[in-house]
Amino acid sequence: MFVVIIFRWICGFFRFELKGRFPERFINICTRRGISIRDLNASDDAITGSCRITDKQAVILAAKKSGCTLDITKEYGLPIFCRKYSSRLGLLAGAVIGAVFCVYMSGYIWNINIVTPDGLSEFEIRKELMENGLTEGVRYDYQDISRTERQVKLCDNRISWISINVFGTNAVVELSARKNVSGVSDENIDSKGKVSNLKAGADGTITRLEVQSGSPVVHAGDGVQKGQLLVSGVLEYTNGGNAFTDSKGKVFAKVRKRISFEIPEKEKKLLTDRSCCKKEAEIFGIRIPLTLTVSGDKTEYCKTRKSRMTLLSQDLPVTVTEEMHYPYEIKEKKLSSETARSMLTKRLKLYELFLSSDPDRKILKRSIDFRHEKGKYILTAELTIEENICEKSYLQTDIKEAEPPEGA
Amino acid sequence: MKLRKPEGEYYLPGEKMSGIRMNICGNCEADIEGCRGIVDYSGECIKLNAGKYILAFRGRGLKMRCMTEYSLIIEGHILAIEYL
Repeated sequence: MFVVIIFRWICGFFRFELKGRFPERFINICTRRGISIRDLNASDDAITGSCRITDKQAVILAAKKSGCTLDITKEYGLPIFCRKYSSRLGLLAGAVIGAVFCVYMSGYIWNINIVTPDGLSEFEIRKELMENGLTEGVRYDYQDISRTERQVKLCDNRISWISINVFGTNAVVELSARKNVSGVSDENIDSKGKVSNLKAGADGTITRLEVQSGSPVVHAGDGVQKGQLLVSGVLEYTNGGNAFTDSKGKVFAKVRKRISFEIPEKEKKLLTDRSCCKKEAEIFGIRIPLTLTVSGDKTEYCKTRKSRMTLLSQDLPVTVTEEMHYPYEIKEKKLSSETARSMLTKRLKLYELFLSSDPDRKILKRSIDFRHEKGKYILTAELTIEENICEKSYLQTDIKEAEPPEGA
Repeated sequence: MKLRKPEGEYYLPGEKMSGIRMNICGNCEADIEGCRGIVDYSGECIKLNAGKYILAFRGRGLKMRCMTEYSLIIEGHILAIEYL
């Protein structure tokens, strides 16, 4: 029924009102001439109905012949709509251009959503995808998605699996990180058939051992020097036989580290009170400056912030980039002791954060010394760290992996 | 003599010779084929020229939904069908 209504609207129709003494004659004339009349409704003095727009002239003639008065109430349909706006070609041109624009732009990728597990940076993944040809604004037809997946996986050995799916103009990248089994690193995977010892990489006091293969020669509480043997790859059996193996494991020891940070007494770069903001919009890959601020002076710091417009939780291909420029002057200013200490302490904390990022490393104790000499402030820290001090040392031999002799 | 077909159609006397066929759906709708024109049309009575006789539909709110050269559909509240 709905299709019939749509079809009638596309063809066009009109409603009429017929008054006269012999409306039946009008109906008979119309039917004999092949004019289809619909929705005939008789009231006291008139008959109403509707007819196709193409039969309009024939209906008028029929009404005249039957001696009735025909009054066309209203016309409906697509031909009427087109006739109404026939002098406004711009509307048609705009509609066509808009449709072509939407169809053409739908072939581009305007948004890349990356679902990363812990340990993988979205920024790095996005950069790798860009290097392999997948970025916002590229045409989807020309992209070999499978090749991009393979290339990204080869370039980054932290990724064990990657999948790129394109839904309309959105590309969804899902990936999972490669997991390292405790005690086995990627280097050891290729060491099959080789014989190795584990030696100390630094001086320290052994706290605990986690040996998977090999024969440990030290115990918890022993003091070791750098280069000392910790785990031997030579296995001695009770019957006097020997065998060789690739030593694997971790030996944790308390190690002392001394680190110094210094800063000159007179600061040379000083921020000024002047700062300027520069904004730029990127719409479908086209960059449009929003401000006319001139910058580019070399003596300035720049802070960039990028934000993307969203509509109904969907990202749009419209990005606004805001750059804050902070110019500085080359001047000398004497730093106070408190300021210098604060700055050096921040650097030390950053360094400790870097050390703590390794799960096998833990900072147990620290002692800090701050002094001022020879025109600079120096902060020296002595850290006691518990870390894995093993270093692999391969033996030059062609002997195979250890096989216990008979009777051992 | 009326012959009832499974679909509810009725053969009127001499229908095959006059060529008129009628499908009635309850008392709300009648689909007529083979009529030769309209004799009288109003909200309470619609008379059709069936050749050898006049077919009259009496009721309330009668209207013709669609009309072509050889067929038409009457809808409304049909109270009686008369052969005149």
